[in-house]
Amino acid sequence: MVELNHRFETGKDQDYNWGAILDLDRIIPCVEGGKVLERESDEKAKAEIKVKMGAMSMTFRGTVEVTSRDDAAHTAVLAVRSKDTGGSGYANADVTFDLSGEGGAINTKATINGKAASMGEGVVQTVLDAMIKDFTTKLAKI
Amino acid sequence: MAFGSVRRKEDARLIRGQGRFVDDMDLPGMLHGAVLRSPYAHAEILSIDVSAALQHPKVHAVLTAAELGDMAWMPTLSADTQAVLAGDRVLFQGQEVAFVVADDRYSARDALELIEVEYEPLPVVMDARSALAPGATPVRDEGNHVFDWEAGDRAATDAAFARAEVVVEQDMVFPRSHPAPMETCGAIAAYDRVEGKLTLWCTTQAPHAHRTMYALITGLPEHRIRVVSPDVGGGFGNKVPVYPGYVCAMAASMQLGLPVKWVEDRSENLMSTGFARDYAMRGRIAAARDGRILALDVDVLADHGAFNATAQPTRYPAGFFSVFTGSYDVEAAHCRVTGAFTNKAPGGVAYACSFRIAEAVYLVERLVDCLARELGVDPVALRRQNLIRPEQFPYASKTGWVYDSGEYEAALDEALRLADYSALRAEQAFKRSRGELMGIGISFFTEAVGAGPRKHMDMLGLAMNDGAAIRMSPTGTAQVAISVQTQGQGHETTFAQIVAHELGLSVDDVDVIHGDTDNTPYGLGTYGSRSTPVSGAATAIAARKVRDRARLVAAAMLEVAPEDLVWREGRWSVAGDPSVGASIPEIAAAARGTIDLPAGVETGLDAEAVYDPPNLTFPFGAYVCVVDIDPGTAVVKVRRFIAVDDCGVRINPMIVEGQIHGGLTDGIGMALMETIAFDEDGNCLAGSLMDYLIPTAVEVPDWETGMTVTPSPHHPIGAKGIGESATVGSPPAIVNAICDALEVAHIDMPCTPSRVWEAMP
Repeated sequence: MVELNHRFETGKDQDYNWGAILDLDRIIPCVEGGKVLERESDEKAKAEIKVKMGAMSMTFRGTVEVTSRDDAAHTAVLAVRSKDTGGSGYANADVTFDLSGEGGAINTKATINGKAASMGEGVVQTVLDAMIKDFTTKLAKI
Repeated sequence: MAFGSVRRKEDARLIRGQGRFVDDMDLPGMLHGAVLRSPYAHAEILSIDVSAALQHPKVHAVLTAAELGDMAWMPTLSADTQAVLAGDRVLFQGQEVAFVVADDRYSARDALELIEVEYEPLPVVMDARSALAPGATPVRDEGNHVFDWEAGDRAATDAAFARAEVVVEQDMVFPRSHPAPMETCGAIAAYDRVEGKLTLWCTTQAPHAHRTMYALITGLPEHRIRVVSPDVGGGFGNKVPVYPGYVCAMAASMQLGLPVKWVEDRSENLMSTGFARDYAMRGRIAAARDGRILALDVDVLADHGAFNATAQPTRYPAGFFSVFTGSYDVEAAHCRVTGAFTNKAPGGVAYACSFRIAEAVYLVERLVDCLARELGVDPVALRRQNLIRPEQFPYASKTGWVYDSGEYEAALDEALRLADYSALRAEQAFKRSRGELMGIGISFFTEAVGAGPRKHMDMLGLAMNDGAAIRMSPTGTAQVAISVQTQGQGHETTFAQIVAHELGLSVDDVDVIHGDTDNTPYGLGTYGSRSTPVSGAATAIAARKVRDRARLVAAAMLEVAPEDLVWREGRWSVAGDPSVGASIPEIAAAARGTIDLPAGVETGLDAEAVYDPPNLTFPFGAYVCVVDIDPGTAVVKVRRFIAVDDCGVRINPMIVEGQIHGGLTDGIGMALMETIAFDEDGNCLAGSLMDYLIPTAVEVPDWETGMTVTPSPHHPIGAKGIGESATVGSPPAIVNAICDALEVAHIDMPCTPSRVWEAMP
């Protein structure tokens, strides 16, 4: 498992941010290569993401679901459950948002299986870190 | 005398890029296969949907366990049963699940992505200790315990330990490593429906043994199967086992009636094919205060992965690990090895090491250094005091081996002379005074190679004997067909030299035929340094049969009695008059001609032999390694490496040197960088050469080699075999040097900068 911590700032107030991160149609495209395929409910969407890892390019398809939310504390967990469409890997993650001020903290706990994982721990960590950093810059403009 | 450093006959094509490897071959109508592998280390397969893959316009077939039927399972070299394609459960990451056959390799790969497999992940078991713990998740239905195996005398060992003045115990791990040959594994299967004959061009080190296994797996009559090993780009044990990809290629060709090629990629090779080692060892050494070693005792946990596919003789589930008493004359010894199933790739091949002797030598050579540290004596002096002495040979070891010959102290002295050992120690003292980290490591190893005598050794019930067949042409040239299979060792040269040497021919006039079961005698192939000790002996014996028959023919030619002829300077000549005689080419012409042959002598000089070795051969050597460790980065630099090898008679010293260079480089890999690591979910973290590090010219020093020659008394030409000596002998020398530099008792391999950093004082 890989665990990473990041921060983001939007320059907008907390209520705005809270609405944005819980709106799957808005937040999923903030991940580079990510798109919503189908909304199943307010809390759940089918989605896919294309990831480039060095020479490899993989498409993961699965679901993103808000599995817990605390409106008072402004914390929420988005669970990602996905499978490489080539059948050679799985990527699951629990992403916890903890909002404060004009931004918030993002804690990501990811489990990667299969081909991507076998590229080595260092590669997965580096790629994931870069993806989340890019995500925070897109979030800033949400 | 045809022995000597003649240039390798095979290099003319190999260095021009004209070698012919499996992947170079292209047959008319040939299709390409690709294997779908499990992303999980342990999971139930809930469903496999291949319908979309079958819709791919270039796909001809998709095989799953269901389609394979009887061919969905195959025997391993350790008589376990391994899934060719997983049916209801996958047991390691990278396990074969489906096989796609398409017009080209790219389409086959594309179609893999169209197969939908639903998995239900299960808990994983990633090491032998937790596999055998109570309540462990069963990897196999029958449990995780593979075997318990013991050698030596428990009671005598306990008694020796009870009265020992000094006992040192050390845990050590020989990590899982991979042979990582330059050429990955692959095959082309071509089934001829009219003839009912299956031809398999395959990257195998053991074509005949494979053919027997394919007969068992496919149900085809064995004589209707032809296995051809063309040029093979390195094996190191990796190409001994039968792999599911080979079987899938055969099944697909039999189903489609077209040739099917399957060649794995680098990740597939590293993640799914035969690994080596993975031994967790607890060693104990007992000694008198004066340094005399009394006894050795070791407990081993052996990780065999998901299937017991270890390549070793049937009665030796831990290989020849019981030679762990090494080069020392001890009073008692005992070892116990327990094998376990885990969710890791199967294998357990002799990675450039004769059946677990790398583990054994590493254990004893590390323990002796630990003892030297405990006693405060020089590791050289301690070894010298305990080495088996020349007059003790043949030496019966306490674990049942009979060492054939040895002059151990002479080899040790030669290594020390080449290293200038006392000067090195003086330099080290000086550097230590300045805070620099320099270490000097010694190892003295004894190998046991050339398996083996049929009364003791077999694989799958097949005697480990090998053959040679010589055909003499009327114009005096020879072809020798052998049952062993080169992977780069230079058989085309070495075996020609043996024939040339025995028959007084030019090496150029002898060609070697190998790697084709239709054209060579039966034998078990090349691994465990057994080619020269076994097939080389068969070649010498067959050549001597040619020579003996030639004597009878020469006697008829020269009108003298055979007993009046002597073999002198490569020809038969009259005892009292060397000018009257005949060379083998002259005799070969006569033997195929029309002269009257003596009664009972057949036309021609052709001869065959199968060699059943009376014993193994025991090459040995003394190695000295000098390392410098950067105190800032903890990077270990092997500055000097002195290797004195005694492999008996050297047929081609240049080839022997090349084998030693390669083995020493292997040793640096194992000691400093190679390990197949897994994460806690069972993901293999060594799926590429960016993660599985292998040594290059950058990491190796200018090797300093030396030699002594102690012929094997029972081998026809006194040769002992060399292929794996350096791989076996070098890791402990390097680790001993690192421990010496850091002044610590032990550090586990691979000694990466992070580990060395943590071990730094």
